[in-house]
Amino acid sequence: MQIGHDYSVVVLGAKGDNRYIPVHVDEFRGQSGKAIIKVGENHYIIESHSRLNDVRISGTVNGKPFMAQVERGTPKNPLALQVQHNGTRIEALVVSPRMAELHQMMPFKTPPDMSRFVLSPMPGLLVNVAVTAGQKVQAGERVAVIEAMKMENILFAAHDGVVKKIMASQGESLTVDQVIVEFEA
Amino acid sequence: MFTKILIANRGEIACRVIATAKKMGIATVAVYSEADKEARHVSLADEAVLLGPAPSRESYLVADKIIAAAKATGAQAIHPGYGFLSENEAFSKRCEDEGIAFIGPRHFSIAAMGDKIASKKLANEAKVNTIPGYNDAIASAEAAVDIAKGIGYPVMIKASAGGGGKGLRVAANDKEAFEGFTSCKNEALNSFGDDRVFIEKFVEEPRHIEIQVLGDSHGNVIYLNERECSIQRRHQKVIEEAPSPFISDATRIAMGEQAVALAKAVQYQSAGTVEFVVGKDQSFYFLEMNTRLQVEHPVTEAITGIDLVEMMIRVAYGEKLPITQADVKRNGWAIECRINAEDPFRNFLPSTGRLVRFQTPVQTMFQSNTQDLLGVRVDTGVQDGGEIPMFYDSMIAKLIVHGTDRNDAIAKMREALNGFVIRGISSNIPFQAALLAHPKFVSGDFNTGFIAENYAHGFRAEDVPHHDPDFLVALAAFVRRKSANVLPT
Repeated sequence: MQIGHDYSVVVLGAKGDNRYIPVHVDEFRGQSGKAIIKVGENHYIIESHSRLNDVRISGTVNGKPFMAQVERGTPKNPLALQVQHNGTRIEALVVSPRMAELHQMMPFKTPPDMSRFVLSPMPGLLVNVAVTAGQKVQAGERVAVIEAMKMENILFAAHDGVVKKIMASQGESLTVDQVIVEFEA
Repeated sequence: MFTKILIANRGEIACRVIATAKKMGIATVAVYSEADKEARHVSLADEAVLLGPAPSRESYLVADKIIAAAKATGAQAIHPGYGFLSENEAFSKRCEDEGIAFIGPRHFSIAAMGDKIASKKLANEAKVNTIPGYNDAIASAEAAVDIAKGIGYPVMIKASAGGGGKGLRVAANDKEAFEGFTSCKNEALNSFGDDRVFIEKFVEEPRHIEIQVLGDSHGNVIYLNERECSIQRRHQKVIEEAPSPFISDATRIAMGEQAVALAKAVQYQSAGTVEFVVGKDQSFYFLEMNTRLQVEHPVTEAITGIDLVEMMIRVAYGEKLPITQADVKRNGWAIECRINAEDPFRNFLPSTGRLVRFQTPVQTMFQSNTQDLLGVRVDTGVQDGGEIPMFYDSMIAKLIVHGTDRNDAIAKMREALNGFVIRGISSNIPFQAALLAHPKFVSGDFNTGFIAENYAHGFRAEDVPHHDPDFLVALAAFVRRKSANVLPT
């Protein structure tokens, strides 16, 4: 057995709430596709001969067969890995312990506040806009109706506000995240 | 046998019908809309005819254009699939009048089952259980108690104008019926200005269980066991299985025989489905009959080994059913998960766009050979790199597994879901994975309220608990280490 490698797996949280998990990897027989991996108290003997460019990875873990999906790169981070198994998905960076230390210093960039806007959640046809500029709207009030895939989807106001401007017109084909209504700040 | 048929549908069901036609040596004609030029069903068929613009009402729903396409290509029969024109009696009649065989029931059978009230009356005449109820005005609370007693407890007392749970009472005895009627009447008057109240049998912990029937033009009708379809979200089926983990052999036979009686009463000559609601005491009541091939037909094919599409084609040609009731098998356990283009984490909003990646799990069972068992089958109308248009249904595939027993089928399904790669659009695979892992689903203890009760606030990431989250972390490290051996670090 060769000397193992220490890594830190940074499980990326959606709001910058990352988790830093020390992991130790011992390999058997070089590139045979088998390794023993320690995560905290848990040991995993993983064996897999799946090719690295295949999204699907299958093999055995502690002797039991498994099938999962792993791919490189996420929309936000080309270096991150996306791991999916049994409906759970994580985005993670696998880095050296030193890099993990430095990563913790990185500021988290909060996404821009879009709460003043009603965005189209999907591509579709704007059937109707139920509000007009200057109108006072209460949370839960109907703002617009979008039709896609045989379904009419009603968009409701997320909070109280005054409509500043209608940004899309009835009958228009919308793209995802297109602004439909803007509220006063 | 027919030498050429037209499939008046799109998506996975069009592909499904083409597979069996190919097996039978029948040439196929696809029809398509402008949005479906590149669709899988078009490339699989021998010929294809453009119907018109993307909206269904200008393409897939236009009977004239479909009949014209059949005539132009010399197709002798039309398979309607499900949805679109499949349960349209006028279209079935029209095909007949034009000398084209309709691969489905005769128009009078569709008509008889198409109306809710008329079909219930027909069911009563055929001695099929219907939900006992009383629809006339009820004079007094005393009269209400008598009616409730006659129906048998528990009963549901409901305002005729009611909705959203308002003006609704469940009574388990005379006292509750008396009080329930009075308060329901008052509530109805105050809320809706209409104090009419009706009483019907309350089905406790209702399950949706349906019987597949198959009839020919020689008066033979058989049933091909049941399908359990209680896992529904907003009345849309999500998971179907066969057999049902709930009903007894005696219930199965009773339901099967009633379904056959109903089908015979309307001279049913094709594949059809009789839907029942089943209570926790195994009491069952007729809901409606679907006069078409169902989305979930593959689970029946898996446990019986019968190709339902082949049977429909043979029956439409005038052949006798090649099997009798005694030949119908029930082997192992089959489950189907509907794979939808929707985002379960955003309140199941439909998701459209380019399928950047679409890799199904490895298939070992195929549509055109229903004798292949104990494996994985994928029925789909999309392909890698394809586009999911916004005009049609969001279901893009059906994942079907067959196992030796229910636990084996569940294990196979979980593995198959793990191996299903869909990128570019969102899919409901995480939701399906969560359902398959839910202890109540695994134990078979569920009813039609399952999803509404267990995911009352929608579906969130924490609703997919992983039995061992560190495994995902280990796997990330494993892949990283493996690539370090290949790539320079």
